[in-house]
Amino acid sequence: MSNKTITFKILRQDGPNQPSYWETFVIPYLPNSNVISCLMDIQKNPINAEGKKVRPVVWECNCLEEVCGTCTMVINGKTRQSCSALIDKLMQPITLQPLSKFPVVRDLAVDRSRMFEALKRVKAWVPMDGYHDLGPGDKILPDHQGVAYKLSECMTCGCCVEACPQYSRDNNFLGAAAISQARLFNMHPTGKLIANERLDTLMDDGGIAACGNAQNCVEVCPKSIPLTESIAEMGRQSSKRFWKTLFQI
Amino acid sequence: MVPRDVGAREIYDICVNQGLGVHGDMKVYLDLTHHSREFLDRRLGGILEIYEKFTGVDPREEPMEIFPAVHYSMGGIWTDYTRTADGFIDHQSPRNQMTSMEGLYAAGEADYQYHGANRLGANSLLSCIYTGLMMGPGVVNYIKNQKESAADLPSSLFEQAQQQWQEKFTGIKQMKGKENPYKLHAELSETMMSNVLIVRDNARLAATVEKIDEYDERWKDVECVDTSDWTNPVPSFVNQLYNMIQLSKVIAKGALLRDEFRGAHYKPEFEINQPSDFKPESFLEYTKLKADGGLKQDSFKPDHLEYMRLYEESNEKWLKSSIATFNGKGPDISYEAVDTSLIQPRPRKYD
Repeated sequence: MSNKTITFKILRQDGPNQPSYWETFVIPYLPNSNVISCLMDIQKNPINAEGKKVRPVVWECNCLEEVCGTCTMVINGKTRQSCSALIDKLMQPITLQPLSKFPVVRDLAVDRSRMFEALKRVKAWVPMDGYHDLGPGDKILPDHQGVAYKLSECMTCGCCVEACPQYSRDNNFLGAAAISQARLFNMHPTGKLIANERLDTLMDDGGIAACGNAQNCVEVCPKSIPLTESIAEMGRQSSKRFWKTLFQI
Repeated sequence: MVPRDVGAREIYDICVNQGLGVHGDMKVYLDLTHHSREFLDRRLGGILEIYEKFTGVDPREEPMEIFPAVHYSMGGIWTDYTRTADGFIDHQSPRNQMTSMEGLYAAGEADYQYHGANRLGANSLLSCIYTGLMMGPGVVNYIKNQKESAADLPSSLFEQAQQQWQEKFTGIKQMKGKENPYKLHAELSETMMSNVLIVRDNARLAATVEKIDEYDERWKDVECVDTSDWTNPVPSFVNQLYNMIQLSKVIAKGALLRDEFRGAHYKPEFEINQPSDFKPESFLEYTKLKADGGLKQDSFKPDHLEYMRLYEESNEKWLKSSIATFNGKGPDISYEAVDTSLIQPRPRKYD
């Protein structure tokens, strides 16, 4: 057993609208740890650095392989998933904070409903009705699939909007993730049946015009989704729709 | 390509029995480097990126280090279906996907139906499409056949249920024992991983069943380490831990009672060795000859005949789903024959 330890400084909050406070935990070092495995170790022995028994830290996680996005938090000042945040690659003390753009539920758990609402606003789905046999769908070419696959990797984790200077708690900006999903479903052979409805949302308040082109989103996206390309592409589609509507063609 | 249980067993053999794991650890190489980067990125992009991110090694350049892990439970909640006269499934039946509790349905990965003794790749997609198609119309028909709706029932019924759960959670919050629930959970999973996973041995399974009974006792001495009322995951976890202990009993006892193996969980004690030149189709010929009364000692090579006899015997006894029923203390295990009316089972073979 080595004497190596890992020190965490965690911004905690007992509930919404409660004051937040920092708490330090020092736990034994284990090789190949990540932030979640350490939070689990704290659960097994919830004692803070002052030796006081406290409530275990609350956070959310699910897949543990960076495909669900649930465990996103701000780690050493950077928004990312805690499952793939490897301890050996982090400076200590490791600071953990909840995402700042969403209401805190408790400790590191936040309410990301706004992102889900944004997906609903842009109708991020393929419209289908009934379960009867509709026959084979349209063929999708490999080039098209390559672009769509990348866009489909979005896990609504919230990194892009956390890093975005235009996305704030007091506006209604859709954010890069939802704009990129509008692009994905506008590409889909069946999804494009309601492409114009998506574009109308993007041209409305809180839509594409709210983007300030800071390009932080693409910088922090854990899945390297070309978010700025998506925003540009949706800008092009929106402009086209605008002129076509104006001249009624 | 081999099914995941065969692959898992081979890796286990190399690491555990032969002690030949990479760097002496529990891992082997999975090499994809003979494929081009473009091909790998197109076909396996997401998963390779995850590997790269978690290990810092590019799997397109260097072989990956891997070991089998638990991914899926092949068992699940018992569900029903209704047959049509010609042996297929009645798509409109309200019984489709209904559990042993009337009106409660289970679908997709939650039910027990598709995997039998092995779970094949992409079957989660199969399960959600199949049960969606089977259950959707059935549920609609079930609702149509109801004389009364939930709103017509006395509110006391719901209040009672609510009270029952509130009392349960109040009880959990008052637990002030010595055991940390998360530590107990880690012990339970360690026990299950080392004894009930890839290779199973009856003596160790029997010891595991006893060990789980100990965890059941220790659960009563758990401390609910957070008793606050807002977004507190601890009481739910303590409650789930109890259920996990019960489910572990089901898995371990079911495994112990099954003196054979088929598919995922290997029991070396009960291996029936398949002759290397055996062809699975011979078994269909064998059963046909047997049914017609034309099976002779020299119809097949002696070792083939012996293998098929053992295979048939094993199927008669064990081609069944284990069903666990909770008796208030633990599981009682009974068996339900697998429906083979449409496709006759035959031995599997991978060269």
